[in-house]
Amino acid sequence: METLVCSNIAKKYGEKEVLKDVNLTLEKGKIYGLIGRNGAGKTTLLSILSAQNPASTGEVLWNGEPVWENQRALNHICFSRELTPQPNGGSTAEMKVRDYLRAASFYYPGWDAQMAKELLEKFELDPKRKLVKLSKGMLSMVTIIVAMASKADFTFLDEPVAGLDVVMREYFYRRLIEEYTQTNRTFVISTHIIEEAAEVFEEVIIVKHGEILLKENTAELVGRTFRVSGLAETVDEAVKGLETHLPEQIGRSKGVTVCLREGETLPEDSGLTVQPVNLQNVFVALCGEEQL
Amino acid sequence: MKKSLWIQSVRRNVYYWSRAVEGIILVFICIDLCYAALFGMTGRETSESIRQTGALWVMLENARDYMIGMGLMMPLVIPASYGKNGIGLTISFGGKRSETVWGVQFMHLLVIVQVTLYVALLNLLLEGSWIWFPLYFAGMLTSAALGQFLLCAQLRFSTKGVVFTVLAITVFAITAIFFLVAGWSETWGGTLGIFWLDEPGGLLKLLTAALYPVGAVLYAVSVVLLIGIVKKYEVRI
Repeated sequence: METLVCSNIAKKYGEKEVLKDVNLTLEKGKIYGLIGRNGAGKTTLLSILSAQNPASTGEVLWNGEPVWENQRALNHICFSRELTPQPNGGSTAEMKVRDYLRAASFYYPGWDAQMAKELLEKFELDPKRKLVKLSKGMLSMVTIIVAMASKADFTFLDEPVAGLDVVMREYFYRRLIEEYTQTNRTFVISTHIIEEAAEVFEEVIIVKHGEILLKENTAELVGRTFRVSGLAETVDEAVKGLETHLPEQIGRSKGVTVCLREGETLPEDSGLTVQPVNLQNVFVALCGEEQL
Repeated sequence: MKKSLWIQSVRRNVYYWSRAVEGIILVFICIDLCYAALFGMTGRETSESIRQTGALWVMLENARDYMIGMGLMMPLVIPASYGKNGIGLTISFGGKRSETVWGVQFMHLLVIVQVTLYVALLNLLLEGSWIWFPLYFAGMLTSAALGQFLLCAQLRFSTKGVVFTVLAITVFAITAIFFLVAGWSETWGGTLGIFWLDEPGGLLKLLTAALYPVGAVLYAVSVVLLIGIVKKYEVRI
């Protein structure tokens, strides 16, 4: 099976360690959600996976071959970066949409010009407009077009729906699933709009402080996480020895998020309220605890 | 497989870098022709010479003379303006770093060859002397090397590098303008026997002979420096 593996990847900027000993395997034919708080290291990780940034240590392998300076491997990877052209930001900012897409078409061997044209029309983007004149949503559309039309086996999108209206977000998710179903490509989507995208993610990768906190099937992760509430003493007794997050106490009532490990269960008939949670709740419990 | 990857690499670099600079070269040529048509900025033409040679030939003569100055600037300005973004963009689209460095060299080649051909064509039409031509070509090579050093500064020092580039180009441009407009070319050119004046002095040969190795060494050093910097470059677009 085609894989993209990063082993022992670390990235340092001076004393600051942005990624710490990251080990990750991406398999062909999956949609991964890459989630983490701002500054967690998501974009840096995607940049290193696609050889857009060099790692301080470790290496990325595509089917066992190093990705770095390897054209054969790079032909199978596309990281469509979030575009942030600044006024007077040089020639890229001054590029027209059609020129940007044309430049991309030169570089991706599997470029689907028909799909790029179709998406351009669907998004009602004016190909003659300069990137610097586009709104945030329109820039997201351009990055989506590059990602989809590249036809790369491993395609990474960084905040693809930022600034898009709800209709276009819905369209993007549908188109993504359609493409995935037809081509069996791998997509890694980094996003902060977790709940909306959760249904699309087959697996979720959570990055926290430069480390992979977990990589798991989305349904399984959500299925083993619950919000338990009731009398404080009863709750404490019921969750003893279990992995708990976000404890909240109001008077004698207490609520806590519980992540069950394999073989663990919650006691039945304990008089507690046990509610399912969504991916966003799981993420907040795992990554936002210190701030709440 | 290896051959097809190589062909793919050459083809996309030719496509990308030629498209990136073709527009600006044409703009420079248009500016040159318009400027030559509208202004007699060198002050070398006289009503007598216009009467004798005709307005078109005076315009072409001006165009050639301006382009000698502008042409020396172009290998400096174009990579400094387009190089950084081009490198970032092509790497972000999956280009190899080494391939991108050679793409930049292809851009230099395009600029130098096209500007030289344009100046040579004008000179041919004017049946001008070619004595200055080797020195001009050596100047372009040196200019390309300096442009590549500025590109390295931008990639390595980001905003500070861009500020330095703007300052350096401004100084270079002002010097060139003074050289052409304020008559330095007349006095210096006349005194030293260089440029388009038909005075084949020994100094011209000496300058040409000296500038080629200097230009070549500077260029080689700039390529090595660029390879080293691009190897560690982090894409930002």
